[in-house]
Amino acid sequence: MAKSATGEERSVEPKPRPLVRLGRQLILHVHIISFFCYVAGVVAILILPMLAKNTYISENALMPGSGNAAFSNSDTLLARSSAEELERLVSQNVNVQRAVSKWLIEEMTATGADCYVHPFSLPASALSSTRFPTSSGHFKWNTSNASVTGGDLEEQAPSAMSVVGIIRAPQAEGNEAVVLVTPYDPDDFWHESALTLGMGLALFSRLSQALWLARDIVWLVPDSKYGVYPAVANWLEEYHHPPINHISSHQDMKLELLRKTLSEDGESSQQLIDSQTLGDFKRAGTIATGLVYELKSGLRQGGVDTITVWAEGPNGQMPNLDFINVVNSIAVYRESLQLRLETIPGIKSWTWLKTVGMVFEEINKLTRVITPSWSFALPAATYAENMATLFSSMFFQIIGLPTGAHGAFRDYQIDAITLQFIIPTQGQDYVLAKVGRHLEGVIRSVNNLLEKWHQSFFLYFLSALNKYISVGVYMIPFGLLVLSLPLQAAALCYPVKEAGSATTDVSTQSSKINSTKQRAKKQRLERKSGADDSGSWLEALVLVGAVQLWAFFAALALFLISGTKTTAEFKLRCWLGVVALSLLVAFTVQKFLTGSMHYKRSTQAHTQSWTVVKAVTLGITAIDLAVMSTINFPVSLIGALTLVPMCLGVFPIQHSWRYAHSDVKSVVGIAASAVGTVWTLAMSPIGLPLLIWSFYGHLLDINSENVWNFAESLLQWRSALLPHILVIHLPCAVLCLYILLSRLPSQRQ
Amino acid sequence: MGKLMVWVGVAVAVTVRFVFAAMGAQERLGRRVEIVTPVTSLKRLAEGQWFKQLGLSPYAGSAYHGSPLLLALLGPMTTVGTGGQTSSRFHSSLIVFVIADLLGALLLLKMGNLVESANVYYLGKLLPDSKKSKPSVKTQVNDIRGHGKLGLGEVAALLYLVNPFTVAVCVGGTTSPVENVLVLLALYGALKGNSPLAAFGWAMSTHLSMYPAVLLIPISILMVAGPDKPQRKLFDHVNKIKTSNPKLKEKKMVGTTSTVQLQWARYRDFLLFSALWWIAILGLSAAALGGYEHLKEMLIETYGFILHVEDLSPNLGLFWYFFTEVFTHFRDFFIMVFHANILFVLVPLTIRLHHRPLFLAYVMVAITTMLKSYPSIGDAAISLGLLGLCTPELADFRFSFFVLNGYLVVAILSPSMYNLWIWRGTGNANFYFAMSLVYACVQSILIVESVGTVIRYDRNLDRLSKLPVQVDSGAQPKED
Repeated sequence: MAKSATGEERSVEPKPRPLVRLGRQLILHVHIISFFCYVAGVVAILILPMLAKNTYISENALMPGSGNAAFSNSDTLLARSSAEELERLVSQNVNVQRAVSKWLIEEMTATGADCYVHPFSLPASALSSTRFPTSSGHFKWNTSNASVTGGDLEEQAPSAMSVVGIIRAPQAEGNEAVVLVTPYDPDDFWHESALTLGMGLALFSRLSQALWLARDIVWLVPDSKYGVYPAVANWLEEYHHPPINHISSHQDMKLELLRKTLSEDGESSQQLIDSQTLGDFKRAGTIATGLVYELKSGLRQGGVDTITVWAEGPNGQMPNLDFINVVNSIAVYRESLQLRLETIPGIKSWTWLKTVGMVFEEINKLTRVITPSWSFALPAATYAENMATLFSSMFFQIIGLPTGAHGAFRDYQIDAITLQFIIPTQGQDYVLAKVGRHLEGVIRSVNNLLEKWHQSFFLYFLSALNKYISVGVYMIPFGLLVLSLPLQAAALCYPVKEAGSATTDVSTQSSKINSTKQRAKKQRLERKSGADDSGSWLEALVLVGAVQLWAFFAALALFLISGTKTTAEFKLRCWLGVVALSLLVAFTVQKFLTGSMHYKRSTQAHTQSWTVVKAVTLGITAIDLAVMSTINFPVSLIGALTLVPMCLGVFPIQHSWRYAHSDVKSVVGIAASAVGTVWTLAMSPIGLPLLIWSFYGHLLDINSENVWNFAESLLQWRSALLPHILVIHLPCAVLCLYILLSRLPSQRQ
Repeated sequence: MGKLMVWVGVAVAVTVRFVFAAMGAQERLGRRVEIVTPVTSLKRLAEGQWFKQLGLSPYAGSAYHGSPLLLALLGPMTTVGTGGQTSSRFHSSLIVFVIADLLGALLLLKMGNLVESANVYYLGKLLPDSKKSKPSVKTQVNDIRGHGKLGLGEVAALLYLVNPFTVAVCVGGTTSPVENVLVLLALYGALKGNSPLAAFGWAMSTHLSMYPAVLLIPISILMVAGPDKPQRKLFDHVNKIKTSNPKLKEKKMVGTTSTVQLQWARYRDFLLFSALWWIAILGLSAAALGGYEHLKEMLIETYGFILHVEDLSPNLGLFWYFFTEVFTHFRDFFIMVFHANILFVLVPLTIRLHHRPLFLAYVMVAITTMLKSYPSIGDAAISLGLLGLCTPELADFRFSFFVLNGYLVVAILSPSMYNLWIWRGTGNANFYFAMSLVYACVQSILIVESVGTVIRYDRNLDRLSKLPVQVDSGAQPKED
């Protein structure tokens, strides 16, 4: 900060140092600067797709596509025939889970792989393994889980069962592994599931013959009865943190389940269980990479076979960019498959996006007149498409939920993505061969890697599959948006007491006043609102602290109430009541505390304390947003977009009123305070839900039950969105309302 | 009212500590590198105790790097339950740390009262009597005297007790509270003129954490010249006026020969007692370790560990990042350079601030906090506590908002950056080191600006003391 280095300011010295003068100039024009910062920030978000660079493979060791794929037509045949066999088996059996598991065990064993089953049940809190914010939660969850399984066996008996096969790399020590995941749902087994599993088997048997393997291959077939994510998360949990207590009972339980599911049809399975130690949890070294893939039948889009990629993990964590690059380059350059990122339908057709794209195009045309070589804009259609991809990715990240089972890997610092191949009904074999070669190529490339993924970016956005926006670029708009907060706080803290300078007023326009009379009036006004009383500082700190603590309490209350067993509607009402009541308590305590420390304040300073409150609010909001940007960037971006205008534009209504009736008013100033007031009301705890309801009420089914369930699911997934709303947005909005409604001293003093 | 506030503050502080401890704070905070350092970790102490029980040296395995006396005091409390596993969430050592914090607050309170009365005395001597002077002078003089409900000691003690850093260090399973209270004990003893106490505090805190050794300078000044006061030349000036004006003549002068002799005698006692305490500490340590031949190992494992910066795990300091990069053959040289940073500033600071020994002590503690090899927020807790004693001088501190926000940023953002680096694996060491730099920056701004403010304050006093005492006073400052 510039001000930090300012030297001594002596009243006798007429001319301050250059740095002081610079700071003074900044503070003098803070309103203009912050306005332009905000606008520049918004513009910078809009030009992000133009700033995107072409992706490149950063890690040389990957060597994508260097080896010929051995996946041949016979493998394709195997994939298709086993899919058909599986479908036949499933149609014959009532118990799909048993049929598929048995078939998988037999086939895996036949390829010579280590095979075992992993029975699991849905944990009490289903999704608690997304344990991002508390990294130390690892051990806690584990022990509680163990005690539960030990406590009541009957209730917690596993009901789902994943099958796992491991190919040991022939020329390696088994320190590292690559995990392939092909999910299937026994309750919804379909042609596509059979095809996925058949493909998985073909690939697995192909890999079991590969001599180049340096990493063990783990094929995980999760029983996604409760969803793919919990199954994979559960397996990973046990892989990394084996339950310490009750190992024997756990083992017994597993065997019991195995007997129940497999041995109903005769002796052979019984022998299989006993001889193969199917219940043992086998491991294969550190998991380096995870690859979830499934095959979906569908139509070709534009004559090209497509792969859809999902990459967003919990709280918007992305896998290493090199991984996506490898998948992309092998698909595009070798197999002529087209990758596409999942986008939310509808964004692409937003007209304003196209308009913005066209505006940029026109601007570029103009600039090209001046310097012909200067071209930055994308074609409007491409721009809209890239923006749609970017916004979709941001939206997924804002919600904070992983977009697939690959999110479970991210909790263990494993890079993983989900691929969905579209298989057309005609020419299936041809596409299947392509898919197989692609997967083999990716695995081979990953297999070449000597260490953890570390070369390329982890913090990036993709605007297209070959265009990335790195952290250094996307932090610029955020920085521009948030920069005005500390600037304004500094301006409020250190009001520049120069004649003719309007610092504490709404608009800088009024700095043009020249008549001495008005100048004197301004000075008086400044002195009144000058924040130099230490008493008002303490009060402001207590107020902001109380509101922040209240916000923490609101978050805690949500957590506690979600644990009770009542209806969602009642819970929501309960929570709202608790929050409202505790807000009253917080304000009472704050009034009591400030009342007891009024030992040196004058009444004037007390009623003028809104500037100090605003300064402290701005400071804490800036810090909160900065922290949020490291946790979940898009959330902080949305936060900056919504909170910054509110924080900057909020003034007490009385202040704005008086300003509008004073001699020094200006149109810009009045407009600014009006916008600030409206924005504050719109973002307030009452205004925002109303706003959402009025805009999206017809699209979404918003009722109290849904709202509560949404909040609860955010809580369970530890999404950063919930802390943002409760701990950053809520206190900030309440403080801004407080400032808006705070009273000023009467004018005649 | 003031008393009530203090008691409420103490009750809140103690309750908060126990509530956090009951919520399992030690499990969580004990892993935070900002709170626990290799030197102060209670977990490492438990490891040392375990070795000791096995009959090995507690320093085996490079786990424990603290004093054997601390081990003897806290060690038995760490091995609750069977098999070395702690069964209860409440560590019984928490009681020790809470008591240490309360004792520290009590010492700060007493010190604050002493400093306040000294302030009143010296300012009364120096400044013109406000009743007789012009109104403009009056307000200025009143401003500088200050008037509040809470005494200085109460403010300082409350600030120390409810400071989140102090709370975190207390419940986070570190031995810092004990080290901090010993530093405060040394300063209190010196302020009070109690040589054995001061010597005990100094020797013990130096034994525990080495860096308080630099406090020998402020303690010596405190013993010889008494608490903080305006510069001597101001008194000379005032005395001159007073002697020239027979009406205002006063009998008692500052520092008569008898008091000076007494103070030197105290200082001699302090040195003697320090030597005695050192002998006792070394003897007890030897006894605890089982023989004098282990003393060398103790010195290597405690002071040597601090000086050699063997543990390069990340912390809030500036050493680890640099020494993970530096080539081995330059390591010794740079270690000397880094440590010398503290020593370089001692003499200039002593010359400039010799008339304010307590403030000097604060500056030294703050500088060691910034430049030590394994800093934690426990060091910030004590330096901020000492800063509380200088509030009257720091009344027009300018960047309080900035410094406050800076501490907030470090407190929130550094765990987040650590998470990004270690747990998510998406960041790298630079992310966390950036926070170390921010922390150092905030601290250096705090130090520089507080020194600047105190110098400004002195200058202001100079100006005020030279103002005409009365409208019809014969002596004019211009004659000077």
